[in-house]
Amino acid sequence: MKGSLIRLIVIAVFVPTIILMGISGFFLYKNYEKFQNVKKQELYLELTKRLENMLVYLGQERGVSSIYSVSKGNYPNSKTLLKTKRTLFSNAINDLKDFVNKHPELFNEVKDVISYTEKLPIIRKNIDSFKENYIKTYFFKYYTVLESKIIKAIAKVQSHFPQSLQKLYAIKLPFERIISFSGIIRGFGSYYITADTPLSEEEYKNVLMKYYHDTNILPIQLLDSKTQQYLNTPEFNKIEKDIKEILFYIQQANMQYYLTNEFDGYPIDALDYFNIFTKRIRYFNKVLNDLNIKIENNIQIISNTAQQNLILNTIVLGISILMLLIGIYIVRLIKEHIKELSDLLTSLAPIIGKNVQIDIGSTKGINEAIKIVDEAIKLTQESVKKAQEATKAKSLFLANMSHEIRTPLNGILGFLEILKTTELTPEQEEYINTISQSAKNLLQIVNNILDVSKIESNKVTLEIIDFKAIDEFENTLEIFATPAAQKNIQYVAKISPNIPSTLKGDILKIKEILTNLINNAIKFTHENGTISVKILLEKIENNKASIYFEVKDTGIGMSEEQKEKIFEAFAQADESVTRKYGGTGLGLTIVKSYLEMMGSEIKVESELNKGSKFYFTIDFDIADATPRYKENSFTNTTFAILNTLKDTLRKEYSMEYLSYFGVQRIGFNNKEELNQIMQNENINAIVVFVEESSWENILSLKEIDLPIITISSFALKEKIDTLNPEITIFDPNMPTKTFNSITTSKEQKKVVHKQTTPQKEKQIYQLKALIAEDNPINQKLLKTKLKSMGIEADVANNGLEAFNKYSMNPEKYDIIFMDVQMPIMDGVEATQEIIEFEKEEELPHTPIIAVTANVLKGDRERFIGAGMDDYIAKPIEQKELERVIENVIKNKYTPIEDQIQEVKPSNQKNIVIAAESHFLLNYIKSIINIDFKEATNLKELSKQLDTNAQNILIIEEDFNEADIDTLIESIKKDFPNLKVYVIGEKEYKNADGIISDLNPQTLKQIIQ
Amino acid sequence: MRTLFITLIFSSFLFSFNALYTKAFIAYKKGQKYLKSNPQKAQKYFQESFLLLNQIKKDSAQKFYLLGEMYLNGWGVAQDLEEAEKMLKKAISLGNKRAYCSIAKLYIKENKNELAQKYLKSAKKNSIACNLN
Repeated sequence: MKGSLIRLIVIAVFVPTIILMGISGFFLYKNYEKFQNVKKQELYLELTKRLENMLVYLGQERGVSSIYSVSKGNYPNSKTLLKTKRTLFSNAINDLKDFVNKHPELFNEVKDVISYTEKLPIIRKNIDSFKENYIKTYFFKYYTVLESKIIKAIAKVQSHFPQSLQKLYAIKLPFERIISFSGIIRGFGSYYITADTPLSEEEYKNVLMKYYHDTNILPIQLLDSKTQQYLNTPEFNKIEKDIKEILFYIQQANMQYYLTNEFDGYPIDALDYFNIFTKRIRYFNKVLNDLNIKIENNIQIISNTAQQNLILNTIVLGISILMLLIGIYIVRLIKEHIKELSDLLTSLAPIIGKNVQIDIGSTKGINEAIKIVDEAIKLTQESVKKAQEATKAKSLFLANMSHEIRTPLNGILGFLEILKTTELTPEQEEYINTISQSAKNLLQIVNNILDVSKIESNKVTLEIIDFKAIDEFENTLEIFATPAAQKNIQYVAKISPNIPSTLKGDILKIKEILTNLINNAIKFTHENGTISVKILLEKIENNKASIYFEVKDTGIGMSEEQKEKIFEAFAQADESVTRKYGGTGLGLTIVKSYLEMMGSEIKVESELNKGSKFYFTIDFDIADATPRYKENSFTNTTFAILNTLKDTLRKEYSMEYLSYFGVQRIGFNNKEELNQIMQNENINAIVVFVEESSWENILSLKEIDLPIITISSFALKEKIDTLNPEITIFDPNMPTKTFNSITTSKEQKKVVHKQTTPQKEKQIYQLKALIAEDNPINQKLLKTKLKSMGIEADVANNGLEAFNKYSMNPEKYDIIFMDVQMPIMDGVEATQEIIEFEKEEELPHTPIIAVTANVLKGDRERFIGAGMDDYIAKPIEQKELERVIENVIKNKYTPIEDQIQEVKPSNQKNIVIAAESHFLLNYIKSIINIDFKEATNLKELSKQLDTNAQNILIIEEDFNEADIDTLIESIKKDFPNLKVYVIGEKEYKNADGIISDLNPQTLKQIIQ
Repeated sequence: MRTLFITLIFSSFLFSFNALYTKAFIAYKKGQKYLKSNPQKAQKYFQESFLLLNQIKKDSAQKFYLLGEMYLNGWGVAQDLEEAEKMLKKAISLGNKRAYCSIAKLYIKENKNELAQKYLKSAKKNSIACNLN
């Protein structure tokens, strides 16, 4: 047996059931016995009835035989009467015999009686012969003997009856006796009265005296009142009186004979004598009948009760058996469940390092189970905590790393740009392009990784701005013209020219999405494939424009399984893709996430080796609903189109653009045909699809005095240069390109549009600058950039150096570029020192430009407040640089005295960082080398703040689950000079700033 | 003894059983009592008895015996030996043994002595002592 639990259950279930079963079984047995008994008693009752029946008819036969015998059958009707009585008696005997035959077990009870009745036929015969004295020979010697045997048998049977019945039978017996005796006297007396002879003294004594009994011997009081009434009626009383008298006078007649030897006869007629005793017997019979009915009822009740009990008992037993079965079933179920649970817990045990067999049926087992579950919970909680910390660490790591990676990358890219502007051999230019592309790719990868991690941490939001739809889309698509051409891919675009001019949306993300998809298309399409991009205006509804985007290629395609995997982070179609095609596999994840943020969904159709199609639809709010290009704006223009040898998408889309603008198109096959057409039509220009047409044919058209517009891939640029057409359109043809070509053709200018990267005119400024930057790469970068603009620059490695350099020669510098984060003295402090110095020395103000890697909310105000005049972001863009310098030249930076915030450097700074995670605190400790106080809960926090110092509090967004706004408000009441920065995402109205990512620059900036 | 006898006879007159024969029997006995002392009264009782007996519808051995005796002795009715013989024979057939004596007496009166002897023998067989006076 398994353990105490099971034992308990088994006991609880089975013991009562078995007890119930036992008891009901026992009672069932008893009741069955009783029932059987009752059935038997019913039989006995039936037997008794038959015996009693025999008694009645025996008495009658005996009595009638008396008169019959004495009168030798002469008494009127005595013969027929006797015959009747004999038949009745014989029937009664046969009745008994039949019954005993049916129930042989009863034979023993009446064995004696039955064997004695065998003599009856002979006796009757003898009686009929009238030979003997009936009284002497048959009356007593046979009939009365038989009578007593029957009575004995009845008494024997009666002993089987239950007490209640026996009681009744005990009452019956005297009545039966008195009937029998009355019968004897009747028969006996009527014989001698008829014979008119006296009795012998013996007879007189042994019969009349013996057999006459008064009703005194009867237990009348034991009868019920109704029955008692029978024997209380005046008629019955008279009968008893008369009988007494009769017997007295008979006695007298006999006495007279004994005394005087003279007999004078009996004073009563034999028949009268016979009848009166019959009357008497009838009364007693009535009582007997009633008693018999009672007995029968009694037995019936007993029988019914026994039956009911038996049935009840059987039902109870049945129920208890059912209960037993259910109990067995339940126990089995419970055992199973216990085993299941035990197995489960046993499997859990290894989690905490144990390897035990657990059985929760036993007490020991339960204790162990509790221990295991407890420890498992603790373990899980720890794991969760660790996972959370790991996530935090990952974010910090990424933030840190991305910054660390991007800085040198930006350096590389920056200098590459500079290098490109120098004189280079074509070979060198090629190398630089390659390096540049690699660096750009690397940067893209880093950005992707950062984006993905931002997306995963839900740190990305949509920035909805107004943008010029078609221009932005076209710009994005144009980027891939060259890479596509390099693989000789037919790169075409179908853009709805009637897209509203200005839409509202996060154009940066859309550009990223398109970039991603087209990049992939180019990557995965082999030479001579086709990439088609569609950007179609589907409908305008409720001031929203629904734009359908599609990027379709004839590349390697994907199988069903690959399709499912590609959107997972870091998944690519399969491993070989990374080897062959490179990439991190993050692009599509970002695409999917961005689109989901915009309420759209990226869909893909693809077939292995046939190509892929990525598509999605975005609804944009409309800022300016005017279509970018009006339809049919050039209906009076006619172009002659050189018929092509094959139909391409390039041709199809180009024709659609021309058709949209309403340009008439006339096809021709050769120069001769064109000449003919020109006679009838005013042709504005010739359109030639270079790849789809015969080159000789095209060349021949040079002779015709019409501008030629070539439409082809950029790969054919050199070939087309030899043709020197007036207008060239390279893949992808787009609305703007078509529009420009139409307008240019109408101007009839034979101007060559060269698609080269325009070289910006170099502005030359005669300025001197001071660069305060601790990073040597960034130093060099800026210095070189300025040099290319003709600006000489000095370099300082930190704020202090900058201040010194400046103070030593204040009028030297026209502009100071101040990096914000620097050791020893940071940009803000240095700025303040410089301004102070300027004030003290009454020097003119030199514009100070803050240079910062990340612009946080509030930074701008901080810089301006500190006295900086402007700021530019790192990596430094040429445009920004120029803008700032222009401002300097235009003297736009005037000293702003009043905006200097009172920053009290006098007092000690008390930096408190409130964070629950020790990991975070350690991290911060590692990146900033200034002492700060830590607080992990509110109590500590209030302790750490110093009333005498200038407090800076950096607090976690979910610090102690407090409401940050309320918390800051209350703290600031006590510490009015407190500056609070919240590490988190949301804006808090009482906070002085938000730290949305924990990179070292940011933290250092805040603390300093 | 005599007193006892008288007492006995007397008490039989008190038998109140309400049956015709019993009444007839009592009247007969009364007649027998007054035979010697008051023959007129005796006759009156015998006549009463005779009437009662004839009222009895059912055949009865005792009835026929008493009637036989009355016809034989001329008690309450004119002596008629023929009728007496009929009655007594009926009584005998119905089982009355005392009638043997009576019919023997009759045959002696009629000088049918063999018949008388036959019946006397039957009487003896049945332990009846006949008083032939």
